[in-house]
Amino acid sequence: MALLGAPLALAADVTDIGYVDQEALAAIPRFAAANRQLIAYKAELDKQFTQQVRGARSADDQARIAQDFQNRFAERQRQLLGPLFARAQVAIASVAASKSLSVVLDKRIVVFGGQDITKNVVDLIGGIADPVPPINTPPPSRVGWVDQTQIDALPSVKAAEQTFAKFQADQQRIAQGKMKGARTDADRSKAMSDYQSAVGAEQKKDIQPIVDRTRGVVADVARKRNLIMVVDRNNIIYGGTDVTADVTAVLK
Amino acid sequence: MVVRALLGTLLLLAFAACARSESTSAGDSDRGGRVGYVRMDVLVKSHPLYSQLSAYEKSIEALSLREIGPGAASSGNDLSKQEAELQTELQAAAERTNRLLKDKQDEYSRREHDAIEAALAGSSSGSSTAQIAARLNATAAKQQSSAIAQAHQDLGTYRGAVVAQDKSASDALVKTFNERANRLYRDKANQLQAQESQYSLQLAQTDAPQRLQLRMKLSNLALDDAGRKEAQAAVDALDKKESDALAVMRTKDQQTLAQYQDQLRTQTRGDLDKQLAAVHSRSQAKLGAPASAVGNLGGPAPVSVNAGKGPGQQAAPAALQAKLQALHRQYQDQFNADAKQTIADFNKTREDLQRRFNQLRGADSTAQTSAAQQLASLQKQHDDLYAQIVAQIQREVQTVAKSHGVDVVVSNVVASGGSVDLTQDAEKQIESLHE
Repeated sequence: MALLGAPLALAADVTDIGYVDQEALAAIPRFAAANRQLIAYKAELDKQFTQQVRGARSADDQARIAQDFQNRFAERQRQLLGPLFARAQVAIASVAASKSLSVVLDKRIVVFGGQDITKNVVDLIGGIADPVPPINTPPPSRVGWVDQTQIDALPSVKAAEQTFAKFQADQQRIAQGKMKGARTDADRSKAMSDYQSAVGAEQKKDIQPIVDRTRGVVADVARKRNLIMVVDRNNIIYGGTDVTADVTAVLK
Repeated sequence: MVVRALLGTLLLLAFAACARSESTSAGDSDRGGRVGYVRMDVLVKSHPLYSQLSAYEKSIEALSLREIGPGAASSGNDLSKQEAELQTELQAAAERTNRLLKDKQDEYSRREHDAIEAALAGSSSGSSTAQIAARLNATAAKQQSSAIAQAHQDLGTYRGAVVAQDKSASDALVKTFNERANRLYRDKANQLQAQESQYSLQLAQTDAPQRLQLRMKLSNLALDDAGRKEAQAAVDALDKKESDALAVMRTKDQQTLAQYQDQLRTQTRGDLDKQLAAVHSRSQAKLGAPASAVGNLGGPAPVSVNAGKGPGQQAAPAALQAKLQALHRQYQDQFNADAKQTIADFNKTREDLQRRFNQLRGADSTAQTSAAQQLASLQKQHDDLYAQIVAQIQREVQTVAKSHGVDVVVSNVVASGGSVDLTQDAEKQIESLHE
């Protein structure tokens, strides 16, 4: 029965993939007003940050100040945008359910095709009444997603990224010193080129093998679970199939 | 910087994170179909305008390293260090002056005491008030000469420090303004170059069907000589038309660039002159005030010789005492006034110096803001060009997808399962844009 059903399913094609333009959602007056407030707050925060970081005595001091400012911004962002995000989430789920979509992607990664549900979502968010959440969870999707932050948190990946980050920071300092002492454009260009070559080579050495291995594991998982593709979690707006646990289990 | 980088991405990420529902169980879906994907980074690199995009990226990275890194913050530290050094020096000069004035006062008291004793003895031994006054004048002159010499020495040190600071501030201003002008000029040149590349591409695209037709005609072996000549002439004419149009644009751009350079030069010179004049004026004011204070010290105030009575002519003791007391008061008052004036001058100089360094810090902050604006402008140009490149790639991918019967194409996939990789075909299509 399943074998007979497959060609029909293929013929039914890919009508269950939708996408949303997040920039259009950000332009909704409620979001725009909240964003304006957030930008003003950030500008004020930037000034304070610049002042405080100048007085920092060490790199640790700078990191502590940066973390403090990040926390303050995140808190303000939660206050301003949290309720709006919740409303948008319900609206997207509601539209996706009404159109029987199994997955809604970020428009930025959709090159061609798919159902654009941006207008429906904008109308629902902008409406007077609160959007009604769908009764059912999204149907199973053949588009998978993986949470890169969880993969980054694996000890082996974390260690490689830290090594690379340290190397990059050291090279930045060296390049900044050269830039400061550079007298001509040719000197500056040489400093820049040296920096890029050094960082590129280190990236190839530290990071590329991990990226290749991760991609290989994700591809294996996708095949096993009969998925047509796997994208990064940040590009999924709604639905999709989470394969992160399968991937991290192999990578550990 | 860290905050800025973080904040830039937070909005979109948060949006995506909040809008996402909980994961669903996978299982085999009975839906799906012809889905393709492309590696956008590969396609962008094969686009004819990629070199321009890459140039923007390099400029952005270079500017970030030069202007916004810890180097900029350390220049603030350098300023504070210079300020502290100069203030210490001035403070030392003020202390030296106070010490000198105190020594002078002690010495004066001792001499005054001697003078009074001499005057009293003179009234009985025949020493004249003229002699006492002459001794007092000689002592005062000696004391004042010493004070003036020290004040001149302090002024010289101070003047050297102010001149050095003036030069350093002027050099920094010239460097900042020149770098700003150079950056603006490079931006404009890059912008015009991008427009030329784009125009060249447009011309090639517009003529592409006609050119293709002519090439097909030329590749026809059966074409007679006259026809071949005519077709070749048409191809040449197309080449010439495109080349001429581009040459016109380049000439115009060169003129625009030359005008812009003149405008930048004038504007930079005007702005720089204004800033330099302000710096010099402040330095002059600082050099002027202490110099006039030192100049005011002048020569010793002469003690007047009483009544010209000549040797042997005795003044009444009470009158002599009154005269000496009057001289003492007069000298003491003058001395106190000088001391106060000297200290006040140094304090004023220190305050002026603080103000000047605050202004220098302001200039440093302005330079940083200017660099940030340059970065934002470059980033916008980069993003605009990137959007333009991606839009063109999307059109080409659409053509490729349709020819493969693919209905949905996605970019930036982590891994493909059953989807079709259209990157290579799309790359070929995009590379044909180079022709």
